[in-house]
Amino acid sequence: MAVIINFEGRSVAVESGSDRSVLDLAREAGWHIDAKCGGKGFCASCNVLLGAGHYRVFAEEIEVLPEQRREVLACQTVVLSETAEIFIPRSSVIALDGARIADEMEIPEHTLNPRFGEGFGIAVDVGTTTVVAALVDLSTGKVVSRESLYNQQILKADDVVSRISLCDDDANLKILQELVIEHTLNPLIQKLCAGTGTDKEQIVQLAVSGNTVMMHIFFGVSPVSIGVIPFKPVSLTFESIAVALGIDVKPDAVIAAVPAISGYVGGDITSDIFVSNLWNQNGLTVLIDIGTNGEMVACHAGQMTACATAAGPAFEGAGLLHGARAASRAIDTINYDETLQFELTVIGEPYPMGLCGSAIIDFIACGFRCGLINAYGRYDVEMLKAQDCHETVCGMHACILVDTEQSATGETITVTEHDIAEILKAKAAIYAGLKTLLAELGKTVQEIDCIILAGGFAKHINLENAVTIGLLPDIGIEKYKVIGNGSLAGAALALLDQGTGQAYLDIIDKPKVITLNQTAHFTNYFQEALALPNLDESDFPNILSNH
Amino acid sequence: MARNEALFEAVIKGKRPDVTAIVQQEVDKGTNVAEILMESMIPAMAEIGERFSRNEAYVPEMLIAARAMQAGLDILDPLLAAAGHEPLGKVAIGTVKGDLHDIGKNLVAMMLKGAGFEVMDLGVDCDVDKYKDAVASGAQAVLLSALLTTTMPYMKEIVEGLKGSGAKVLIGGAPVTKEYADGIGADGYADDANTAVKATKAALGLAA
Repeated sequence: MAVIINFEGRSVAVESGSDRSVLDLAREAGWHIDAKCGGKGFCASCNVLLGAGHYRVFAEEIEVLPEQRREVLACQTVVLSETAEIFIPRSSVIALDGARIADEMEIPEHTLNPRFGEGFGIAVDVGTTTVVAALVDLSTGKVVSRESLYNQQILKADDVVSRISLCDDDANLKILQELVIEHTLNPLIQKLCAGTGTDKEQIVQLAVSGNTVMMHIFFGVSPVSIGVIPFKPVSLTFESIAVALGIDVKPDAVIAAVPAISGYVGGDITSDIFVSNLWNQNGLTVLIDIGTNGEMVACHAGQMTACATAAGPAFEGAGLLHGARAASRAIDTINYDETLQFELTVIGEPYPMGLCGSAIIDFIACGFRCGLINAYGRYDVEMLKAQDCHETVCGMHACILVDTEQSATGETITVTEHDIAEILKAKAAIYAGLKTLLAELGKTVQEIDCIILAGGFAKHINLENAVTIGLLPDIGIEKYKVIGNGSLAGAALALLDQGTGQAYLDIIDKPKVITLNQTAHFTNYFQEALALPNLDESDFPNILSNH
Repeated sequence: MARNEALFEAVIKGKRPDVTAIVQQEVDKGTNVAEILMESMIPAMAEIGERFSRNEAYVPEMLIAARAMQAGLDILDPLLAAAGHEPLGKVAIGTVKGDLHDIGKNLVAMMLKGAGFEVMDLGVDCDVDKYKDAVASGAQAVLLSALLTTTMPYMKEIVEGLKGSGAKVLIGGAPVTKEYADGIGADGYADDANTAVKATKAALGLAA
């Protein structure tokens, strides 16, 4: 049976097998359809159009006539007829090019004391969404080159919880491990070697840093226990050799993970803590890593508390009608006032296809300032209509940011009130997590002396706008410090100074890890933080006095 | 007393201090406490639930309104009990064993309270016995929540464990579908907080 799959004017024929989803067929044809929920039919990221043919969609059989098109979820559709035709809209395909990934890192002062005095090492930050690798010359201590790619596991599922669910099945665990090693890390190593003229046989050591679930999958260990109470990981530390994991370097090269703190506070945070020298800061210091899970650590007088918040991937564009990852064709900044003349910047290309997390923060902050968006995240519909920016999408009010002519998709790019609600929930989870963490130390946000922001996202957000929407505390921009990719720096340090290995092990016992919703305050803080900027007005004195 | 418009609006807008002030004022004036609840507050939560179903309100607003409603209930509850006011019914709700997610569960609990039910919140990580205990102490319906595909299968054990108890079992949560609910023999299913209230009323044979 031949199924013709069309994308951007190209057609590829693939053989349809019994019970293979259209999602699988499209991937075989070479197009990476987005499946944010892991192909379980919960989201609409894998929308495709069916042409003539006979199909089963969920449990229902349907017939599409030659002149018809029918929109369905690729993951829930099976081709039943001998021949069929499928059209993939651009919005359903993951742009694998032009990803904006924060690979900048600051390695703090250290002694050069590597475990191997010769050859090369590779430091790797294994993020849920992106993987960054740095080639380190072990004899000189210099970082020679850096490369980054999307973690190819995003082809299977977007967020950590979906990936844990997939690992219920050992075959899927194996597939996810292959996606991160064979299809992500090995190509990165290839690029690093080719770009620097390094022989991969000279690579004798790898240090990897990432969240606990990513480390389990990387080393081929099921993370399922992290998904259920009491969220216990199989191990906090991992070590192996290249040949055992299928990593394309010297076969007996040593691979070690930066040790994790708990199931949801991973080695990436251990790295951040070490790199930012958190426990030696004066006063009350908070480290926040805003990723798919917002992890944070508060430190005061040598005492540390840590937590992970279920912010979810909304800041990476998931769950938003025209959300996009921070890659080519994504709007990344927005500025406007009450005239609703939107000033946009787009990554890489002139015409956008959606907006990424930094842009939606800008959009909501500007909207709140100029009165377009009220404290509950609702539009002034009259204002939208007066400026010809109003559209109704599935019964929801939406603001048109980009008209059909300026958009890469040929459709308007809009922000719905539902999109705003999604961001409000995500930002509330982070802010309430922070407040709860401080409450455990007997502190309040106003007592914070310094906030250290780690991770790629923090590098690209407009801090003032993040404060305006109540994502981050209103304590004065001068108290914020952005450290870039601390996870990568931590992995690099593990290569450069073998003493850090012990230092990491000393760190992981220090933080008291808090399960947020088992505290007395979290639910209340969360509800308060759902408004713009917050229902607890005393937390945002500067934002509200200007409003 | 007809509807107190100021109170109705204050609940819908989630203005907690206003709700507290107005409810206290009415109580001080000697207004019938059941009327304050039935004529103004429950209709307000019903209204926001309907707006939610029509895509005219979203989860953040609903949670904020529910929080204001709760502030009013904190004042009224002891007075209602003292006045012998009967709740619409008695229900229990909890997130199933192994699962700690509770934002959705809390929202459903608040919407049920907002509809006039007495709600026993069993919390998270609840095993069969917790639900059985709730039924033994008078719950006419139990509502189960799960957010993970790994914890959802436990719902089947609870449905079976409660067979013959007379209590209705309703289920919901991100991975839960109508088909799954029918398959395990649950009495009801809902995919959002407003529908959960309607499904609970339907399962208990109460007017919508």
